Amino acid sequence: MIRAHNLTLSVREGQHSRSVLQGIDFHIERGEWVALTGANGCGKTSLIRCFNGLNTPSAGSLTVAGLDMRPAHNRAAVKQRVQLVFQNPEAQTVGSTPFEDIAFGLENRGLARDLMIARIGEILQQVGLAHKTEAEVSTLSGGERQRLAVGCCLALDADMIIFDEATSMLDPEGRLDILELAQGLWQAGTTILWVTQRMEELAVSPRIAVLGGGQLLYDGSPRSLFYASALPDALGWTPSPAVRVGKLLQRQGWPVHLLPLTGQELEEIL
Amino acid sequence: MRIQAEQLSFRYEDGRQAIQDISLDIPSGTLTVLCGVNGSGKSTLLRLLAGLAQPTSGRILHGDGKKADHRAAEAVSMVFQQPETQLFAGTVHKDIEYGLTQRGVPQAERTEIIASALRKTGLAYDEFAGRSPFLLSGGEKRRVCIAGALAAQPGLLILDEPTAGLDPQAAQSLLGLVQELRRSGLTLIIGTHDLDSFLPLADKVIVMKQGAVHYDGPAPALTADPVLLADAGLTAPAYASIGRRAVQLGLLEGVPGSLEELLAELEKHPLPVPEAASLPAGSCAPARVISPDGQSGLPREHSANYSDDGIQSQAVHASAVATSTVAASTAVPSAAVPSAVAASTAVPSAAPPSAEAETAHAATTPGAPQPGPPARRSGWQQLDPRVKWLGMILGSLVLLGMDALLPLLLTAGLLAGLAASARISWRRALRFFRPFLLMFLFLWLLSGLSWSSPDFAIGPLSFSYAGMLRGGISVLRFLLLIALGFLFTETTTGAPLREGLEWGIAPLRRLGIRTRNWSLAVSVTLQFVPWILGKLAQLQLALGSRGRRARGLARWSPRQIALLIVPLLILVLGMGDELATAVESRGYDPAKQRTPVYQLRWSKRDTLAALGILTVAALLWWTARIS
Repeated sequence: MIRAHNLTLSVREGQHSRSVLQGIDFHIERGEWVALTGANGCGKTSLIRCFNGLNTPSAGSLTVAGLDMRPAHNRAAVKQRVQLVFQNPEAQTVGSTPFEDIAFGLENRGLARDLMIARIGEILQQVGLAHKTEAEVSTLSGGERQRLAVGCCLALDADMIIFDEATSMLDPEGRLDILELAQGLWQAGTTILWVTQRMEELAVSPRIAVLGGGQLLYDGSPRSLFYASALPDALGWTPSPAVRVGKLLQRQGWPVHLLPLTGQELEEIL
Repeated sequence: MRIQAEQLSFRYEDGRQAIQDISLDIPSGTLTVLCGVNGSGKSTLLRLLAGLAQPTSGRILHGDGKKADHRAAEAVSMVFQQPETQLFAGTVHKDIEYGLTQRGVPQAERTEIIASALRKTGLAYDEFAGRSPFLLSGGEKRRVCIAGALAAQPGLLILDEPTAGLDPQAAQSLLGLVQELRRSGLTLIIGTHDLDSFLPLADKVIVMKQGAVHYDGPAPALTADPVLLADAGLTAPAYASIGRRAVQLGLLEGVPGSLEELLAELEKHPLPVPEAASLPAGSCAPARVISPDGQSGLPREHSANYSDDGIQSQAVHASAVATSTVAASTAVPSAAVPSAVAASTAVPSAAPPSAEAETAHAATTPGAPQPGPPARRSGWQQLDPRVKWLGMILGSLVLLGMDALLPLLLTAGLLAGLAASARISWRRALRFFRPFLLMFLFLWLLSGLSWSSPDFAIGPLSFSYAGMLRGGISVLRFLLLIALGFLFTETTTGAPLREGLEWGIAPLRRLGIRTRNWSLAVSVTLQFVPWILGKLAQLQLALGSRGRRARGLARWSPRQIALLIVPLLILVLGMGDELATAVESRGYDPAKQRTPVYQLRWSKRDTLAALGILTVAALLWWTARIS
């Protein structure tokens, strides 16, 4: 789905140019779930904006969905296939009802009206908002608005959805809700790039990429990140409770492959 | 400061009960954690305790046992969840100074107080005082807000979701700040969802459920009983559920009060290292490590369960993704996942497309034989948007031409009648007009001021009747223009509004004007009026928590409004930027052909309505001419 080789991005700031991303080698296979993390200002957002064509790399190569991202028309084509769900639930709705909001993307694709109406119904059902079809958008909760944003990605038949800290402004219930929705889509074949700073969300991702200072610091499984790498300590992370207990067990001689990543796994171990 | 609540109840403006019969006693110098799911009445209770809202019944007592009045409420400071809606001034110094000015602190003392408040929150005065609060990081903004609250030297500090939206490091360091404040002897109440972080610090926990107190007592008793939190819809902290399991197995004697305690206990009583072979199959974490290149294939085994059956999918918990063994993830019933949520995420994809389309159709167009956009079937909603545009434009033109009282009053009556027929509730209308009323009242009085030929005087100010009439007419004219727009947007959703406008300005396309851009901009802007009003209310609440508890019209004084403008503008600009990205990423291209979901359909009733509008407009115009 995504192949980046030696990807470099610099931005102009007045007279100078500042390097934001340096020599990133990274690839995501179609249908994969990858979590991307790193502190604020580490280049996460710049990187994902390269992936959906909003940023143009300054050097290196990048292909998304088989398209070379250098020509502008390829970047434009990718924009629809790689969709973003942003952080702020309030700033992503264009329509005044969920129906109109989903319709906006379909209208732009030039779908026939009957098909469009049927498709809107399907999508709202899929994201669990069928009962809110005609609700005023301002009455939706944060979690419902993020569901709607996911629905808009579906309306464009996205191959890949990037969740850019999409749960960070939600309460625990809303967070779980959006995570489960994303997992459902992933199981149905959508490629997911899950950008987060939450340890428990990293722990449920099969693969984690850590970005720091514009460079890729880690790319691998959560188990080896939390139990075999010095990186979390070096970055000053506070691991989740399950991992902290796991680290204690590790010191007591437990083998890495038996250590827990989530609270549920830990309870199962006990 | 001790704070007590006796049988507090509060109803929203629309009559819904937010909280009922709440009695509390919060001792001085303690840290109380207030938790509950969204809608449990948590925020309302915090606002009542802060004196930012008045209870419908019951009373709040402060330390000395006196009933809390407006002045006493100023002993309470509150910091809200989003720092973006509680920073106002150009520099950190000025921002904190605002509250001090409000409380009448002499200028000479202010800098010292501000420096001390900043120091307490871990920000150096020299480094931060001159900076713009709007350009700080999330964690720093939060600290400035807390410093602003501390500068008032409150007896009680209320923090609503202090760590929400912060990155883990900033959240962790804010937790440290809270602990320091607690040690300094300050009484704290913290509303939070983050039980893992805050329960270990709490002297007392109050759990809210459906507007009532569900639990009020120490944290250990709460976490020892799994039912108490689950009943209120909350998930127990990880250390408590792990600890409880360890107690059941006889590994620990009691449920630990924090993660540190749990770790210390497990250090003392190590778990036996399992023989890998002795583990029951599928009972623990996956042994397979997924290689970074993802080529080993992904754990998809439980996908079948997910889509086949809503009940089974309930067990597909967040952690199931990492668990490659189906047995483990489905065998554990997950209390944390509300079944409704799970059921709604499980999509019945097995349904044939035609049936699905039909259900969708039925859901969106109840009772309509033709596929059409959803509509609230009130008479107003059925009207073609072009008729409404016609009414609004003609109405505005006629209104602008009016300069006598009679036609204006006639129009006011007409608009009130129309609003009633559109079933717009008075509360909703009032909420919309409130921000304008005081400004307009102020303008009206200003226009009545007269030094040369006064008819009457109030104190040093003298007014003339003629001036007041003239001013009243202009003010009324503007209010009616706004009312007309309000009526239009209240009865028309975005899509019809946009289509109607686009139809109207279509001829301009020949002049090379991008009509699609314009109609989209207008409809999105109008749609964000409620959002702006909501933000305005949040800003006001935050401003109110800083200084005097302004009530009623005082909240709309020119000084207050001036303070609200900058943060509101910043919020609106930020929103515009994000929306533009959203619009672009949805494949919007003004040059491309588009198929509107809403179809304009002119019917006989629209012709009648248009004729009615023309007649009424002509009559009003005529009345305006002759009066």
